[in-house]
Amino acid sequence: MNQVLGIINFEDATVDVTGLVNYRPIPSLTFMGRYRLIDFVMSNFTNSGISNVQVYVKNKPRSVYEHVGTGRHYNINSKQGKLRIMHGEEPIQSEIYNTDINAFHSNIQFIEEAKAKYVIIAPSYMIYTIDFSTVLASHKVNKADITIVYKPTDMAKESFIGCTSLSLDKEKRVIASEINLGKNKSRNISLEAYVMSRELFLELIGLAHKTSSVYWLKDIIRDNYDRFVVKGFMVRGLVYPINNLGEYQRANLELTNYANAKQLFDPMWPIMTRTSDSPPTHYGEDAVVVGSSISNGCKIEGTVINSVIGRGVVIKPGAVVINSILLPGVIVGEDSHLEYVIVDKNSKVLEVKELKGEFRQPIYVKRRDRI
Amino acid sequence: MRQNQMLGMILAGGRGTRLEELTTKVAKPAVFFGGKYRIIDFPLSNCANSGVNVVGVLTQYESVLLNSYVAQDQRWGLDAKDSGIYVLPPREKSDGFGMYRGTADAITQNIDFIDQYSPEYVLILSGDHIYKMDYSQMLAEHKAKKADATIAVLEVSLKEASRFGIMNVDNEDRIYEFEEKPKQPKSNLASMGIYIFSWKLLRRALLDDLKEKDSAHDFGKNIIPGMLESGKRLFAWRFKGYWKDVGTIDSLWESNMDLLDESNTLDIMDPSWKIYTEDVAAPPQFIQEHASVKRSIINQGCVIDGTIINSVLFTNVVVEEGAVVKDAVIMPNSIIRKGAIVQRCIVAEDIEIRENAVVGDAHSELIELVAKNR
Repeated sequence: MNQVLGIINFEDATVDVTGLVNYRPIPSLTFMGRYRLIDFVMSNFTNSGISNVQVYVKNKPRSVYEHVGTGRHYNINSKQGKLRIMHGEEPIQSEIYNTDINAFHSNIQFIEEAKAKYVIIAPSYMIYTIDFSTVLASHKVNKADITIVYKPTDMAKESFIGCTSLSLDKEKRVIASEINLGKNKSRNISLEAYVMSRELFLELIGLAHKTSSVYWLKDIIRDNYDRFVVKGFMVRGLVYPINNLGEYQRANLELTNYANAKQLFDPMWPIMTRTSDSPPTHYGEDAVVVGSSISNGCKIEGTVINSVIGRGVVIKPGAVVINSILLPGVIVGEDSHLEYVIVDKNSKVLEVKELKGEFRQPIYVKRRDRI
Repeated sequence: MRQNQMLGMILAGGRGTRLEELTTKVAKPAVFFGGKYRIIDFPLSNCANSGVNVVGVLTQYESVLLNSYVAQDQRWGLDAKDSGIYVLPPREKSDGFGMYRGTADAITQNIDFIDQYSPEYVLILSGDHIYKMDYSQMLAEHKAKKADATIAVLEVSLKEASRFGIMNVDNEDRIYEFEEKPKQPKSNLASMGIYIFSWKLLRRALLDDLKEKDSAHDFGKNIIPGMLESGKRLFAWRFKGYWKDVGTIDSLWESNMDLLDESNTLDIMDPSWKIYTEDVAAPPQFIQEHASVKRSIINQGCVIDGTIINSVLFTNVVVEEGAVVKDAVIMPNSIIRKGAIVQRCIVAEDIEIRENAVVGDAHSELIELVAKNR
């Protein structure tokens, strides 16, 4: 896969995980207590043998730099491979100009200089596992100009809202696409992962840039379904789009069930992340924990049911946490009762004794807060 | 500032025979401890946290795993330009193959290595003890007392003292006598096998010792008594805190159990003195529908659907529905199948306990090591 340049793309305005994104960009969102979203696409790339990767960041790059570092923990070889974090080099007049095309354009030299024959572009907000080498093989066999990875779903009414839905012909050629507004149950959802030659990628960047200065890559591809052979590549396994707070909640909570989680966490396809050197988790004498996913470094003395507990969380005696997601470093004080709550990093729930949200409408407690 | 004033040398060649099958294929320093760690993580993390940035690890017995384990020095943050962990097994030399004949000989045979860094001080450690210690404080004391050697000591009960090497000291803690396992101990200061030497002095002592035909080339038996004899300034440095030589299955089990006690002084949860270890790509732990977990330590990658009481579970352990694990230590990747009962024992890594099997005995005097599928 030396012939591939991996590009981790950023997302457009349809992705907005309210609350959590006030503090970090989408790729840095904590997921399942110990990961950040970018770990999944990054691991998919390196497990597929791609060790030359560019990460495009839309805003607030600090946490991405810190987390991704040199990429060594993702198996990117420090001499043969290369991990680059890219952001727009030119000032942005208005947020509407903060598009992937403009970011590619301002870094075009680094795409031109790459020796790779192909590029694989994928966003960080789609959580699934995929071997991109099989996508590339299929791309070549199909003699496609562009291959789009998609997931057929029967949940398009509740999920994948705002994602692109593809219409495919019998040969799996993409003939049209539209935004999924949740009107139909069954849809083929584009996972916004694309395979194409680097040459064509450069051509599309130029074309999009000329067509409209607020165009995204998906816009220019959509405009050209008849001009290029655009094929779909179907994935079968679990896919979670993390495009709003409800979906973030659903993905985390569904994955507390190991029957679901084992589809995503295959020992042969490890999801790698930066270690925080946390000790193992300590369960107290009176702990009650069921149906939950618990990270390392926690101290659990209360009750945890169907929840995701991040690294280093403290749950005091008498506290009850149900269907909730606690990000790393959270403290839940004695006798506090949380249900369908998302508590952001390092916050303390001490004085409030009852907080109750709903499925798809969780209560969000902001970062480093004390309530 | 000069970075490498004090070089660390960890003696990690021992087999640990009394750890039975746990050390048939790996040396004792590589034995698992505390749900996540290997024993040698403790001295290595202590070095990293104390600012000892260059560490030589002297290996000998079954060293393949240990060598590759410690060579990954980024795990302990010792991969910066002037840092490093260097594996130093015995090697073939122009005058034959040079097995390490004793603890002192292991250092003597690596004088060239130490000289490369021309350190002022050398810290000698053992690779098979569990404790947290700030060696920089010990060094400060060594300098303040203008000592030739400083030996860390632990206050033990007089009853226990006859099991240790005992330092007899004056009222300034200057050592005037060293007694190995004395029948009638005069003091309760047990040597922890942790020494700081001024390198020039140690270098000379080692080369002198090399010429002695009858020497066991051992720090406790030869080097320390020799220095005392020649009137060198040797001081005891009193350590307070948790320290354990996990030399037997019983003591390994016990010190794992110690971690379950909230008031244990080892406190591996303390973020200001982290113990670093291998970074495994395992998912979080999944505590499932039928699980019950009380007073236990569990590491990432475990999938628990049974009952866990008073136990320590390492990475990727699976405990199926209806199984009970009580007062046990389960090492990585082992599986406890449905309905099995595992109690008061250590289950080695990669072991499968079959459905409804009963392993260990709640009333046994000694702790059983389960090293085969059952």
